[in-house]
Amino acid sequence: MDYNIVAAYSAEKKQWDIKVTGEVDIFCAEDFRKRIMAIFKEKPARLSIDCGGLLYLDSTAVAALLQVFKAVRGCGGDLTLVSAGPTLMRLLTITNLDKILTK
Amino acid sequence: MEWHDKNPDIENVELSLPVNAAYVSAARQTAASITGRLGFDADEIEDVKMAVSEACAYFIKALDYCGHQSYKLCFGLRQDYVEVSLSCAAVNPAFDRDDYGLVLIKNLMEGFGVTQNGGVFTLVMAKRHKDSGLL
Repeated sequence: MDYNIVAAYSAEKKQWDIKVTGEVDIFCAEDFRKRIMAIFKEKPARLSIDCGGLLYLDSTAVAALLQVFKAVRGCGGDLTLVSAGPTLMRLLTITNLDKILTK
Repeated sequence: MEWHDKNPDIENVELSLPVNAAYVSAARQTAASITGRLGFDADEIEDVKMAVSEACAYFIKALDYCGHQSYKLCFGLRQDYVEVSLSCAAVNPAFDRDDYGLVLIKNLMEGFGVTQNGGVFTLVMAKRHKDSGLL
């Protein structure tokens, strides 16, 4: 199974609302990183990534998100994961990334 | 008839997987299917799925650059636990011992270990059934 991204810019919130569905693992983590970065480059703004439809995210994908987070923060932006399910929250908590990527 | 009525203590499932990230999802689904059959609960199944996925990714990252073609993934089905091992005969695998995936595996599974014997690299981990009295 692959994944899908739907992104919409909200002028009111001045942020990108990005909805990710499916599974992201080592097979597509690099593609995932490039697609999120491309959204940010199209219009640099805060990224709010809705993970409610994610069935699986592995550590390679989380490392890719961390790279985007660092790049975005370096440009004055921000990245937040919202609606993370219990499996993703477990992964983020174990790797101590929950405080950085979810607020 | 339940699967364990036949041979309660020793049943093994072995897969030979290409060093190709496209097949990690197949390993994950196999892990889910096997642990489901053993009667693991949803949280335990998720733990094993995640650990198997991370272990496969770990092997692929270590083996890909040195041109290895395949590695072996084995599930040892026991009465109250499942033992998972990944192995390959490798000359110079680039194993990163600080990998995020290893941190996850150590937290999700029991009896984790990486060994090298006679040029064969093996990662072993196990998950005990919380409610093993049911089996």
